[in-house]
Amino acid sequence: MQSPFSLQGRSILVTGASAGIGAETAVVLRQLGAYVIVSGRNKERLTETAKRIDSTEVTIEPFDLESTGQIVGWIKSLVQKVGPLSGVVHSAGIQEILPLRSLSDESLARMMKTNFHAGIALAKGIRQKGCHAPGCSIVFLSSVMGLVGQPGRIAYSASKAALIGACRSLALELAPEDIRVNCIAPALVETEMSAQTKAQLTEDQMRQVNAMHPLGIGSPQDVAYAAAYLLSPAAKWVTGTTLVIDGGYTAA
Amino acid sequence: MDKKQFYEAFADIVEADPASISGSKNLKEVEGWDSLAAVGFLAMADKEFQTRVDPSKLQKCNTVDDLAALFGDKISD
Repeated sequence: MQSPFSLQGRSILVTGASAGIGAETAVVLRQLGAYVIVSGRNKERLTETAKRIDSTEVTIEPFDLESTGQIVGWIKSLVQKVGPLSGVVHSAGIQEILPLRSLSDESLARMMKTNFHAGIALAKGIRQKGCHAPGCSIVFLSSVMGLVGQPGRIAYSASKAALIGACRSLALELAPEDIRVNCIAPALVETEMSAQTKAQLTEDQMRQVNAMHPLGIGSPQDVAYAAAYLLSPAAKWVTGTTLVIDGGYTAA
Repeated sequence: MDKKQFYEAFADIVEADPASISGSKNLKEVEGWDSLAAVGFLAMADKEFQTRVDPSKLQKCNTVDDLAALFGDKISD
């Protein structure tokens, strides 16, 4: 009998698969039997991710999600290549620390576009007729910053909270179409993106950040397992919610 | 950018009157120079000078001119 956590027979698109959480998620999903479509902007890095996966069961699909107007068409053409999708993990995103005084309209818009608008467009794309398989599951990578705040994270928090808010309505709207929608809210995870952020902090500030994580800083795998669960038959009764994977960060 | 423009950009970040900012001014005496201003400064460095400034170098700066020195000859006198 197939394990409820198995992703055998499922084709899943992972955005932001060039690095960090996206890359690790692609690897884990494949380990659980999924056919994985890895997407990102950088073809070389996507190829690196694909190398870590059994190469016959992965498709490399470079795409710049900033072209939000083209995402729906892209999903349609992707499905023509690989068949209906059983899920999508929207892990692509950008982060910037900017205090309000330095926050331009343009910075705010840029953050919202990649982190939020692209997620909505992906949902719209996968919802198209013939594009989703039964038991389809959409997973948005939100963040604890979508639940709690921190100075300098106005735009980032807004974009991540937007996913959480949208996810509820999306879940209700798409339930009759057998599509589930959920968010994952990780705290600080060891990735390239967080390394860039860390580079902006002093040692003291970094110490403070570490102290706020009772179980330490997370690994991309910790988040990947959460995505795997939400994409699996085991989560068939889970929709419209946010799975917090944060080492205890928000418990404080 | 020249030094005068740099002082103005700095004054903007710390929300101070540009007239009150001189090169020799000690950062500790600049009211708006806090950790958030420092973040804004790092963002400006990236945007205006395409330079990633190491936060620890930032901590070692005592005066406004020390900050300017982080950008070497990208700031003309």
